[in-house]
Amino acid sequence: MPKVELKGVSKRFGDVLALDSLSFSVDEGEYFCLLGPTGAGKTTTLKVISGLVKPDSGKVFIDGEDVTDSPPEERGASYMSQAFDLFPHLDVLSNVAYGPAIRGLNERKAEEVAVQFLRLVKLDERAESMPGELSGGMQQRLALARALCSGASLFLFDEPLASLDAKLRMELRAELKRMAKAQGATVIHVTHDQEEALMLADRLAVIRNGRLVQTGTPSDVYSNPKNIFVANFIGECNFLEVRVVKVKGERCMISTPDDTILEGVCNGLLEEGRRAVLAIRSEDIELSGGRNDIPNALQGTITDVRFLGYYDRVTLDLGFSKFVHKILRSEKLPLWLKIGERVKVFLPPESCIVYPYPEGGLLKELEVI
Amino acid sequence: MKWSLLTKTVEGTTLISLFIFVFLPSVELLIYTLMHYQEIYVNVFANPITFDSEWRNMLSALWLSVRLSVTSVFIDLIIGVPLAYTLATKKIPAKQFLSELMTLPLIVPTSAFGFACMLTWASPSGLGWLLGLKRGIISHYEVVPFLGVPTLLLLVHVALTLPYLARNLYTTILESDPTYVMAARTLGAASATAFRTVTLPTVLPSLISGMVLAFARSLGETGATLVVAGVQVTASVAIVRWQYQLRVASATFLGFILILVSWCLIVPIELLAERGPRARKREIGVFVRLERYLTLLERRVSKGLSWLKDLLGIIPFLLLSIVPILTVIVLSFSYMYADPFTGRVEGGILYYLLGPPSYLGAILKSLSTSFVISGTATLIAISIGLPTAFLVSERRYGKILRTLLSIPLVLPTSALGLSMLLFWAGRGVKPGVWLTIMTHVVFMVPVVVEAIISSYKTAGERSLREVARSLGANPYDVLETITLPLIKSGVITGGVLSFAQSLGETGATFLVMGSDMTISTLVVNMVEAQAVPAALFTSALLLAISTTILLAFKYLMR
Amino acid sequence: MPRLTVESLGKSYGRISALENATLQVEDGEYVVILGPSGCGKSTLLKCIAGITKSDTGSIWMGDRRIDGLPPEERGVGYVFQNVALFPHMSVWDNVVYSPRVRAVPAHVYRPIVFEMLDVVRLSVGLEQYPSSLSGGAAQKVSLTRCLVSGVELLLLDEPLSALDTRVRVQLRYELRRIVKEAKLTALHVTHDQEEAMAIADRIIVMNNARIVETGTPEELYLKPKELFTAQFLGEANLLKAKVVGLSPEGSILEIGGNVLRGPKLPEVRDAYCTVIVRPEFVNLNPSEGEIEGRVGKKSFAGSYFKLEVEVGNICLESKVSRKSVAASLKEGNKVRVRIMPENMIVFWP
Repeated sequence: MPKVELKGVSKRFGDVLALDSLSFSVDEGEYFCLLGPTGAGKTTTLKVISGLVKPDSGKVFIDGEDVTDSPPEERGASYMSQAFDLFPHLDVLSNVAYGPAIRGLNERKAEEVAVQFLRLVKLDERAESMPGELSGGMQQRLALARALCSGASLFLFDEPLASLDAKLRMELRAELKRMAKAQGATVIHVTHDQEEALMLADRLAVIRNGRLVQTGTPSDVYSNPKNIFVANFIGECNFLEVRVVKVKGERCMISTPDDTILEGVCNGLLEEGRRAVLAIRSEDIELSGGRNDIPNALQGTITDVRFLGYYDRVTLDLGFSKFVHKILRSEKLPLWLKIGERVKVFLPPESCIVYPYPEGGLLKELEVI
Repeated sequence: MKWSLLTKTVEGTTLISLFIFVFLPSVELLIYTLMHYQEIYVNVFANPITFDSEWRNMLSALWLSVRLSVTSVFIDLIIGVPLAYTLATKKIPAKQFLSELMTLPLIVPTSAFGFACMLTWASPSGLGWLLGLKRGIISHYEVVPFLGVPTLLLLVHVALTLPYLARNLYTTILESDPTYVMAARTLGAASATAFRTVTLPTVLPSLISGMVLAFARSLGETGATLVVAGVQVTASVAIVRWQYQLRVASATFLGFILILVSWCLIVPIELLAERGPRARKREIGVFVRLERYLTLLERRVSKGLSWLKDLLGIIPFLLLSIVPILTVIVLSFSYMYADPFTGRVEGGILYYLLGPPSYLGAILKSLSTSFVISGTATLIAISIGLPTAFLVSERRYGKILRTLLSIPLVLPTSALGLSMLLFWAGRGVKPGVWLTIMTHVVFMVPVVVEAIISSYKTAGERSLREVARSLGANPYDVLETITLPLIKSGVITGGVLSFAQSLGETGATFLVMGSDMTISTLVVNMVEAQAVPAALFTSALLLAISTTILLAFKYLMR
Repeated sequence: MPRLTVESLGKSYGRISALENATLQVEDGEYVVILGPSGCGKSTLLKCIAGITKSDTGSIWMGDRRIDGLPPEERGVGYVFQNVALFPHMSVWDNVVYSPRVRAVPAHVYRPIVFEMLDVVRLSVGLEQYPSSLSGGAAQKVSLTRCLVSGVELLLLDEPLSALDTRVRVQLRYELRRIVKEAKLTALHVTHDQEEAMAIADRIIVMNNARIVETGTPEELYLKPKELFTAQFLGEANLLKAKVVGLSPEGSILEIGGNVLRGPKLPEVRDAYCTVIVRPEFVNLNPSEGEIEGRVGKKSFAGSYFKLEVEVGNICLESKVSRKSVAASLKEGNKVRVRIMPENMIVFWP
């Protein structure tokens, strides 16, 4: 029996359909991430699960019980918002003790429990400060302590790290998961940061315009993106507009704008003669400076090499398109890799995924800006 | 009790109370006029004895009121815009204090203030004495050329209506994002140009609504006008006078017209302002060239005369609003034992209070009456206003409710008094303390509601409530632990403001108080009885009380 | 002549010092990024240069012109804000032409410039639209165009991407660099995101606690940082306590967490103990090759690479391995051999 289950949940705000027949489930003890761009419906989903928003249709189940009509305080789902929403009129200790106190624990007991959690997040020294006096990172830890202390078994985190510095974000990411796991809690963590989702999730789901696009483990979704949107949203991907030449079971042959024939893996319904899109991850490309002919390769010129810390980013001009290649620093940079060099760009067939051409056009599907 | 049942009960009760105690009285005058139109028509237009002289009197009173109010608003603009801008943006010493002082004319007892202005500007014992003149700076009868508006009256109206414009603008500028002006400056705009092209369009709605409120306030201003008015009579004063002369039909009809005029002006302008500013898109040749010259001029101005702009707002404000109050308080000390000019003890305050006229008794009695009335009205207003504030913020019809609540704010006070008389007299509530309390509740509820709503918003109450629910708090818990503590400051602010306003209210009180007297109506009586020292003392007392309430409150709220 | 020179700039708010003794130079055409955590003074520095904030001490020069006494509109500096700051009551077009309009530039002069800049930025939104209907990224592009049209030569960008979605941020950052280079401008860009800094900067200035810590190219600061703060702030790092147990002409011998390793050449030995920084990607893991033995701990997936925790002796190292490498197939509990090349160890003395 899953911990949380949504069945066909829909919600409309005015003439905007925020959630479109959403269905998914989360198992007990799982760290589940809901990933998607702003406005995709992530916050609404969390609010429906917590009971703060009533869905127009569909059902919500927690611990096997239909809670669609239950008020928030009876669901045992603690919601942590992006803005933290710390009670400004209560000090740090009272903020954390709020949950237990409201559930009937006497004041002394509630404070004892609260102090334990404050120690966990290393804020026990600031027990008497007011929330407004804390830094961003401290406020996030306070919000976390308050949520964890509430005794809930289901935690709903709404972009909890979005308002923090990049460095702090990385440090607190690990802490977030560690503390949740230590309590044996189930977590649904919503974010627009795919790196965050990949790192934290036991399983994740990609949501777009109120609809679930793909669900799976991080490495599943990363290696086998269901469509171009997912491929582009998670990790870095290069895309080529191609035409299907031949389909052979799971493999197919496509032709590039300069009539090179490449082999790739089919994903979706492909028809010979039709337009398609070839996608390959930037770290899967291989460059070769040699003059030999390699199968499944394109000709390109290096236009830029940028040092990005643990990897180098090489921009290639293929004539009809631009490609980006990622080389991890542990694999040493070849000496001939210089701006202006003409290289052979090898695309391993098993890493080339061919998708049918999207209805709204490729640019729309890739639209991010 | 089940939460939803409780909320529904409270909602119902509140709406009904609002309807009976706040909305109905506001519109009663209109309904009454329409119902008794035949009678009124005969009396006003076709009176067998006076023909349509009533109508003519009405027109001349209205015309004076309109001229007065329009001029006041115009001057308010000239003083108020620089005042609000300077206080909101520049760093001046005592800035905080000055901006709080701006609230004073809102709660000052109008009759006392009118008396104070009269003393300061038009009497030989006011500022005229300081400058060595044997008379006041301006004469009581002096009239502004072209406009035919009594100068003294104009000064009073400007002082009383200025905060409506300036405070509104001040808060808006304060809350607006300074980044826009910064962006404009980095793009090459001089500070005056940045103000015109970026700040002004964004604060325009607030400026317009401030102008509208100021106009309505001036139109309905009765208390100070009663004290200061000479031969010429404004519309709101006319209503009071005619009611006392039992020319009920005329008073009613004039009140009806006043209300109609206020609404006809306010509603379309508010709607226009709601639409939000959109900069002109046309690039017509003439305008473009005009703009070029304007920009170059603004560049010159921004560099040189900025100090002038700073003073343009502050000095007139202090002069018009604060100086009269100080004058009265100072004068009351010098008049304490005897008239300082003649030396006669019979001209001194103590004589008037304790001697044969023995005003002290009357003062104490009306003071206690005032406190009782205002205190009770405040409690009632809070009990209606608190749930109303929730309804406005939570329910879908909240916006409509809020607009309806602004009606009592722009109602001319004497028209309100008349309305209350007409509505309740027929239903068995005679003029007296209770009718006065109910009258005050009408304009106090909107004040309380607005104060609570703004503390609601600043606290971000809604999202805090959601988190509390998800932590296990049921709606009762949320109300007790989250909502009420957060809006506490709003309730106190609303309560104090409306209490002070009620204390100083004169226009409506005059009509509904019957034989009991509040302290502000007492001042009017004293002036009419020429008991100047007594009026001086009472005004000083009243003004001192209001000022102390304001300052003490602001200090405590810090 | 450097485009921008800042000398000993300082700013305090009461007793809190927001900026201390900042000195820097930006050459013509450079894209310089100021990098540091929140509250380090980087925004204050930028605001002082723009004239939005008045500095207390120091001087600012644009070329050979001293500008620190001038109001913002006379400094010739463009500013892009974190929260975009497009005038909400004006259309995209009106926003973009604001600068020439308020400087009384005639329309026939500024129109061609505007269209040129729209081309450079590759703006794809309707000119009649209003800011409220634009996405975050599009709005920022309009804001950029507005600055470009103002004809300034120095562009200041205050965390321009921080308010945007991660995906948009990643794509827009390269656009920013392209636009600045194509328009032949000089840029000073402030951010707390070290990946963003390395991706687009010609040179990075690292700040912390109101002071400038270090300056250098991304490569210099990442591979050979001179300050410990820089080493830890840029990228990820294994922070290790090491004891110098021996020296040789080729290098040194270090004891780290119970393991003995060959260390880099040490020009001087200031102490028995030192701090060694090793970047995770330089912790080479192999089932069979390597000097030290270790055991694999937690493994996490990060898309194009895996993060592995390795227990070596009595310490824990973090390692980054690419998806296709041999080490990628390692699982928690596996025994593994670890190699760290001496030249990849960065030594800091206490």
